Amino acid sequence: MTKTRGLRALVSVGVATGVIAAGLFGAGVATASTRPAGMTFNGAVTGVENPSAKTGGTLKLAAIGDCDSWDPARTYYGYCWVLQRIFTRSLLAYPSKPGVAGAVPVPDLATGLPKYTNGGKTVTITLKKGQKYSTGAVITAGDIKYAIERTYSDQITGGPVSYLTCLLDTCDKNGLAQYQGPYKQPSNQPKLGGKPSIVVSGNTLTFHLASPFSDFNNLLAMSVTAPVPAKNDTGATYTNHVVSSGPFEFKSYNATTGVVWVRNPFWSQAGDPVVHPHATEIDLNYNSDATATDNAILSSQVDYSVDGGQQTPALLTALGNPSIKARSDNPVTIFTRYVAVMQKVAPLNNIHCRKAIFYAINKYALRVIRGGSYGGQLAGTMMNPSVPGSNANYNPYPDGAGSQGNLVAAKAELAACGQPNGFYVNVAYVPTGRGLKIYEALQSALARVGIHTGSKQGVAATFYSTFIGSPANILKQKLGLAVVGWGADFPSAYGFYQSIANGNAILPAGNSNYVSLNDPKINKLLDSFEATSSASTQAKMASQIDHQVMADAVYLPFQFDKTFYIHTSRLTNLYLQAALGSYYDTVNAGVQ
Amino acid sequence: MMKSAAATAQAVADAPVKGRSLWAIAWGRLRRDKVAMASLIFIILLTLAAIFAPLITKWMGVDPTSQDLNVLGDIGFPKGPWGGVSWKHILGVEPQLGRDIFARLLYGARISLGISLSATVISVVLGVLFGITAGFFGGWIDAVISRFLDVMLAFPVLLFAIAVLVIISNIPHAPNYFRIVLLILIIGVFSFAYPARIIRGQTISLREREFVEASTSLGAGTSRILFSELLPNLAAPILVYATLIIPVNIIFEATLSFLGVGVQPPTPSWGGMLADASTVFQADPFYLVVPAVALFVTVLAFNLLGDGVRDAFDPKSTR
Amino acid sequence: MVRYIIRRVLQAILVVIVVSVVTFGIFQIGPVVFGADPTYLYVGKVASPNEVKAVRHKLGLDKPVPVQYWIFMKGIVVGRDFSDGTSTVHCSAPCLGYSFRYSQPVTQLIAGAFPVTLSLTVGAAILWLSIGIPIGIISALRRGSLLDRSLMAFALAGVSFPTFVLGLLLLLIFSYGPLWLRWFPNPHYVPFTQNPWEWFHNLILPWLTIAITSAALYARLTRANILEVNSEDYIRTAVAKGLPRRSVNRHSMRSALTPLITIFGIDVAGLLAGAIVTEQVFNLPGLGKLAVDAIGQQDLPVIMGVTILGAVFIVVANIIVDILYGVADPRVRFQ
Repeated sequence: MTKTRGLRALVSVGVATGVIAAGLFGAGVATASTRPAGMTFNGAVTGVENPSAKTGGTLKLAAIGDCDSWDPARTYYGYCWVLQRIFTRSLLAYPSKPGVAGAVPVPDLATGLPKYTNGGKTVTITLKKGQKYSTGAVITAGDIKYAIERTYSDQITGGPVSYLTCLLDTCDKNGLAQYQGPYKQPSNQPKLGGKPSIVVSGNTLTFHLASPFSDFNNLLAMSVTAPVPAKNDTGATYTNHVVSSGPFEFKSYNATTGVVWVRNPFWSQAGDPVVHPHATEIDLNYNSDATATDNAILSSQVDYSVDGGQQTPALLTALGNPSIKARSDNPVTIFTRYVAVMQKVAPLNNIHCRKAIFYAINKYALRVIRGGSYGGQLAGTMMNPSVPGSNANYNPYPDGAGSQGNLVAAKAELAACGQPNGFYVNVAYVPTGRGLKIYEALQSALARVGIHTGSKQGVAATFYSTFIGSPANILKQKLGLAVVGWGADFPSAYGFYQSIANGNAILPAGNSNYVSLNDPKINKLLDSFEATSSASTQAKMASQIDHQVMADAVYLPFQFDKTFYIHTSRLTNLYLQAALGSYYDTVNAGVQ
Repeated sequence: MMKSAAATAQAVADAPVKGRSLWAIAWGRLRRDKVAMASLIFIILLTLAAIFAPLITKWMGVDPTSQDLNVLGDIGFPKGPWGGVSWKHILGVEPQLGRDIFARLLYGARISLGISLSATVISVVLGVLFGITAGFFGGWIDAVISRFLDVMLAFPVLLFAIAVLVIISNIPHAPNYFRIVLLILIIGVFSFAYPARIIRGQTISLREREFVEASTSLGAGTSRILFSELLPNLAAPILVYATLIIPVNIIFEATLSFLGVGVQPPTPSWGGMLADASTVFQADPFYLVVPAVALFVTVLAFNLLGDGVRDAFDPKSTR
Repeated sequence: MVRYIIRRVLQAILVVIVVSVVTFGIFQIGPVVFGADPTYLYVGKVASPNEVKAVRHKLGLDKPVPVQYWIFMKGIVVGRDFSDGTSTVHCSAPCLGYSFRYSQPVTQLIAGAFPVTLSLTVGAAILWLSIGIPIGIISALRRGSLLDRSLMAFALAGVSFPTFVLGLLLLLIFSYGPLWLRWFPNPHYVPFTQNPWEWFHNLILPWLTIAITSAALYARLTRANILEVNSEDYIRTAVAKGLPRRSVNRHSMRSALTPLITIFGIDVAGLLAGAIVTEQVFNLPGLGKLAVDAIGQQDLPVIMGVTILGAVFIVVANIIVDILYGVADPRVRFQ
């Protein structure tokens, strides 16, 4: 009896040891591959890799999951905006160029840039003739007017529509427009002072704005203004069969498995000065296993990820293998990653308690989790370097040696706010991906000065809408800190700060001004920003807004995100669209 | 097993001079079972290590929450081979966070052992309660309880446990230990139906035996029968079941932690460490292997002990 | 016999109803009790109060909870419409709800995920039965020998691994391990209709993960059952009377293996309901993964659908198993 079980125990342990040892000694992912011709590390950041005129072939792409919506007026994810370029066109668009050259809108469906008159309140722009949808119908100026009108309906929500809402219609003091959209009010339209604000005459559109908006060209480049044919519009379910105005159209779409796009036969290169498609088909497959996608890209079965970079094990592989590193890119994106410090939740209502967190945080540790110097650029101020007028070197809260925190200053701030031994605060975060580790690192950093944290996990689906997006919920659940990221909706200080820093942008749900910042100085600067068209004045105002936001100690930036992409070597015409978040501009990519 | 238990009880009644109780006999057999004793010693040592985790880690100069970023390279992976093993960090450090693995392993043992042992107690208590009641009283009581157990067994257990824990996460103002208590309850409640059935079966077969009839005819009340006659005879199978269910509960807790619904950070748990390792193990396999080995060895020890306890009470059955 | 079956079916229906009520209750009442409005799970990031109200009405979330439950259960039988005045989505019977997260009826999602779980379960079951039971039989017949002791040692190792740990270790060695062992370099699910060989090849590791633990368990159980039966009086009598060993073995095998039917039924049903852990480790888009993702996103219709389906599998398996047991062992039938 004893001998039996003794032998059993020994053999069990032996088997297990053997199994484990095999794994330990052998693990390591080394793939041999030939050095790709014409590709270099970061080649797609500063230039176009493998330029080629060859057409044909199928792109094989991956994403973790579905876009929030394919309806051009209802999507808010950065990478989905880049994907919109595959099948929608707007009056203006960001040129297919890397770097800052790709950040200034140029005519797409329009014959030329718009003309501003009447102190910037009247905008005239003309549509090109003969551009067609995938249905064969001609794109009319009325379709663009209709596309904007439908954003006023309560079925069409989720996209960055708020910039246009009160610019083109009369709003009450709560920001609610009078016009209710074409489904409820088919014979009505947006009006200012009783007069229609969007006037169509032949192929010319005239916009009458409530006030001058110097970034209006950027608004015209958003997919929100992409034409929608009224007879194909199905309201809230339009996302399932979007009619294409761009070079590709939907062949199939399944919210769990992915999308296939094929060429739109009614699109012609002659009428499109912005994009130059090369592939004939684009296959986008969803796979929630990021590691599987990384491996598929390394083994060249998938061309690249459309929604973000690879994870750190793949990064490690690339760094150790020159031929893989040559087909990798590591851009700084438009996203700033920061901690929102809720000034309405005690004891964070005292600015010194907030500043204690600003000094105690360990930015280096947080960056390590995201891939170290390949994962981000340490940040001392909120405004991302991609915003005109930004100063990436501004750092009003010096973060100590190695950016690991200034504990002396932190303790001084704690004393100043009357909590010398620290205090307790809840942290809201989504535990998927690196979210959990970021929380643990934050917890560890703050614990060094006695600030103890509680964990408040949210669900991705409701995190930004009702978890931290509801000021009432923040108070109810005493959410003191939230780790978030933010990128400008368009390249300007207004596009960066309006939704997160203006007191008039606070919403009861889906709020992006998480901390309920309502500083009259900032409000005034933002409210008057769009009235001035002078770039130098705007740059100065941008700097002032940034400095004031930092002085209020409500947003604690720790890095400007960098993404590490790996892609296959068979791709051509590959570059990263910097204005829209440094994702690969899929519409232009081709294969050898 | 029942035959020998009742027979032994009879023998004890017959020979007051020098009889050994069932328990003494079983213990004797167990003591002679070297492997089972080795497992028992290992378990005791592990339990002690878990209880004294704070002292041990302090003595070694490490702790489960502080980050040692100097040992990590720029992109977060331990600099040395073997996952950063050194004299200070004898089992290496976690990638990306740099926390000491040995310390986290010890604290994780508290969770694994604490939760599964407590859950086993609940499972056994509930199982005995429902099992004896159903088996002894029979009739409609038995019918109702049996249907209830059917429902319990029909639940997709893991799914349900995950669902409840996710919803519970959203309760505001919940203290930290609330989640641990909830985990214990869930694991205990979702595993009592099986022993309840077994004990019900045992009770039914015992009920028909002569010594129960004898007690009844002597005028013994129900509670006396339950406590003095049935329970002692059920004690052996209860104990065997308990030792065998502990490893199952350890695995259950580890699985819940692996799926992310177990204890919350920064409380270390073996399942949580494995979940973390599953994202980076291609680059740092040691980080996967250490908690995997810990889990395997612990479960193995309990399995060996369980086999030994079962043999000690009934040696002829399966050797 | 027929009466027995009818009785069991009625009991099973009762059980499924109870499971559905409890699940519905927890998921519907849960968020409300804790102060969250489930409607917000279904609307976009920035939703006006009007849109929220419209969606709430469309999903029927503005009705009392028992009414919602009744509508849900009725939908399973006759189908259901989701309407908010402007657009209507029809969900035909059996309607297990409509997932607004995926914009698909739950039944469709389940139909897409089920083949994966079925592939996983059937393959693993074939493996573990064909490995576990023979090992158990051999061990029992050669009781006490070196072979017996070695096999039982492996079995002990097998049951001491949690499924997910075994899965991860298999991945470590055969997917990311030393180059000469990297036989399964990129595990992902390939539908059988797309490429039968790839389907098979990519399922080997997941099959092994489930099968090794189960085979180990079944080997131990088989061996224990056979030995126990062999020590029963009627077998010893038969041997003492001189019956040939082979026919004695046949009798004892049958008695020993019959209890395994019960366990096998429950195991298969449990796996069909969603081999959650294995699907998670190998990222197989089956019912388990669907359910876990749905729980993470609090997508109630999907959770309800999968949980009810799981309960149905388990009770059906119980019925089948009880019937088979009744056929095999007449003593059971007349309880």
